[in-house]
Amino acid sequence: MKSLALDLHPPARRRHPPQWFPIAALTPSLLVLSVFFALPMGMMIGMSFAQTETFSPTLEHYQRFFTDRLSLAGFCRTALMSLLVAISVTVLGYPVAYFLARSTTRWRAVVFALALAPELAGVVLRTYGWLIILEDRGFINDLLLHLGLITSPLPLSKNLFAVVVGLTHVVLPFGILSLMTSIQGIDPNLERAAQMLGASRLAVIRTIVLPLSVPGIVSSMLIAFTMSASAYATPALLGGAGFKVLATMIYEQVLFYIDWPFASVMAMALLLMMLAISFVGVRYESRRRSRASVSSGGER
Amino acid sequence: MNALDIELVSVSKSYASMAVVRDIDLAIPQGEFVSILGPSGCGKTTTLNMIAGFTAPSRGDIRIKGRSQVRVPPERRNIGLVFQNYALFPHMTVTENVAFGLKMKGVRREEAAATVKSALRSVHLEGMGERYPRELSGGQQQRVALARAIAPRPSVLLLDEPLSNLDLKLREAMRIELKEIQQQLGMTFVYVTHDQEEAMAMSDRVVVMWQGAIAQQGQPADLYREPNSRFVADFIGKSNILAVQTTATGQAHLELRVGEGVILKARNTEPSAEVRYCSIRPESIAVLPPGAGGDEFANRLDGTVRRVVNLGAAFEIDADLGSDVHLHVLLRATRASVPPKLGDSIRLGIDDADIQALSA
Repeated sequence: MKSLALDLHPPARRRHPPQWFPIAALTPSLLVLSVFFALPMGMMIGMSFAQTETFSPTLEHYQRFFTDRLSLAGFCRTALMSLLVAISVTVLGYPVAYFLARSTTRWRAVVFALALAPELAGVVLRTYGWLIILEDRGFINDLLLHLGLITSPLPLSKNLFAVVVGLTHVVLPFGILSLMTSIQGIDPNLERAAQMLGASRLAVIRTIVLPLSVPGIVSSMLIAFTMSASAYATPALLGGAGFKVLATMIYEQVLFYIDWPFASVMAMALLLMMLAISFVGVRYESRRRSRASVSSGGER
Repeated sequence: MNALDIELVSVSKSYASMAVVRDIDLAIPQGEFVSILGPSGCGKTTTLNMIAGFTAPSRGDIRIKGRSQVRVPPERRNIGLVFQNYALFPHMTVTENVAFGLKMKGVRREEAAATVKSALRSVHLEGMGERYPRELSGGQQQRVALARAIAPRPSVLLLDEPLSNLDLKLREAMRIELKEIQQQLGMTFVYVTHDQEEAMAMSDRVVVMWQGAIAQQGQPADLYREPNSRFVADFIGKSNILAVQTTATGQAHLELRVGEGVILKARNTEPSAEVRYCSIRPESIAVLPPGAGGDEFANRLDGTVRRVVNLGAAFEIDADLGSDVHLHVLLRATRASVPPKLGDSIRLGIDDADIQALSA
C-alpha cells in the first residue's frame, strides 16, 4: 500500500524526459572525443604495431625500444622524475592543505589564492622564471658566490633537480586541492578528542589526521605523477638538451627523425606507465573502501 | 565540603562585540554531577569549550584543582570529553580507541590493556574490543566514547549533549547508566544539555544558563520548586506564569493581583524587587467541587473548564478564572478522580507556598 502522504498528492505532473534524451545529450561530446581523441589514439596504437613500409603487423618497434638503452633510460628517467615530483608535491602540499582545511581566519583566503597562483602564470613564463633563479649565472648561484659560500656555481639547472623543482611548482596546486578535500572530510572533533586524550598537536597529526587522509595522499601522488610524466615544456626548458624524458623524446622522434612508429611506441610506453600507476592507486582506494565498508558505516 | 575540582571565576567570552558568556562564577566540588542546562545559544557550549581548553576566556580565570588553566593547552588539562557525535576514531578498533589516551600518557602496555578491559566492562561492552566503531550501533558507540574518555582517569569528565543522538528509550536507559557510572567512579561530571528532563534526572546540581549568564543554580528539586525567574520557571518543567499587576502586602501574605478581581495569596518572603510574575506548577493545583470547600487552601478560585486533555496518567485541564486569567491544572488519573467536563464550573485550591513570586 502506498503511504497516505503520497496518496494525498496529485500524481506528479513533471514530465520525464524521453528515453533517447540522455543519449542525444551525449552525442556532441562523444563526436568530438571520437574524432579528436579515440581516432588518433587508435591510429597511434595501430602505428606502433605496423611495419614502416608494408604496414604489416610487427613487433619490431617494440623490440627496438626495449633494446635501446637511450629509450629505456628515458623511460626510467620519466618514472623517477614523476615519482620525485609526486613525493615533493605531497610533502610540501600537505601542511598548506591542512592549514586551508582547518583555518577559519582571514589568512585562509590569502593562502588559498597564493596556493593557486602558480596556475595563473603560463607554463613558459613560469619555467623561464625558474631558469633565471636556477641558472649558473642565476639568482641563487650569484647570491651564494657573492656571499663567498661557494667558489663555483652549483649545478642547479639543466638537470633532474631543476625539472623536479619546476614541475613541483606547476603541480603543487593540484596536490594541495586534493589533499585539502580529503582533510576537510575528517571530523575536526576527532582531532579535539585526541587532544583531550593527551595527544600533542604533532601526535594528533601523526595518529589521526595522516592515517585518515591517506586517500588524499594517494590521489595527490597520482595526479602529480601523471601530470609530471606527460609534461613536455618544463623538462624541455629546465632539463636542457641532455635531459630526455618520454615526452621530449616523442617530440624528437616526430619532428627530427620523422619516425612516427617509434614515437608511437614511446607514447604507448608512457600511456602504460600512467595506466599502471593509476591502476595501483585505484586498486588501493577500492581495497580501502571495501575494508571500510565491512568495518565501518556510520552516521557521518 | 569537598575540594573544588573546577572553579570559574567571573569568566566572560566575547567574539568581536558579541558577549557570548557573561561573568560566570561557578564552583564544582569533586565528585559532583553538574548539568549546565540552557536553550541553544545560551553560552553553555562555549563554557564547556573554555573548560576543555579549546576556547580561551576573554576575561576571568578557570581553575582545575586550584590551578589556573588559562594558559594550559587541552592535552595537558587531564579532562575527559564525550562529544555529541562521539568522535570515535574510525580507523581504530574499539580497544585502540579506548587505549588511545593511555598510550598518549605513556602507560605501559599490560597496564593499559587491563584498564581498557575494565573501562569496557564498566560500559558493558566486553567482547566488542576488536570491532570498528562503524560496526556498532549508536548506543554502543556512545558507550565506547564514554569508556575512551574515562579510561585515562581524568579528574573531570565533560559531556556535550552525549545522549541527543539516541532514541528516546535508549536515552532514558542511558541516563540511569551514566549516573551509576559516575557514582561508581566518583568522578566529577559536567554535563551540558538543553534537555531539562535529562538534567533533572541525573544531576546533583543544575546550572541554568540563559543569554550567556547563569540564571539560577541549585539542586534539581529546588530549581523546580523555587525558580527565581520567569525564564527558569518556564524552562524547567511546565508552569502557569501569570503577569502580576499590583502587589499588596497583607497580614501573612503577599497579595498578587493577576487580573480583574483575581488575587492570589503567596507566602510573604519579602521580595527584594517588585514582583512582576508568579509561577504555579500545574500539579500543585487541587481540583475541588464547585462552589464550596477547600478551606485548607489559602487560595480558592472559581472558574470554568475550557479544555480537558487526557494524557493517560493525568488530565490536563484548562480552567478559565475570568478576566483573561487561565490556569493549567494537572489532575492525576486515579480510580477515584473524576475529571470535570468541558464547561463545568470548578473550584481550584492552591496552597500559598505553591505560588512563587518572581521579579524577573
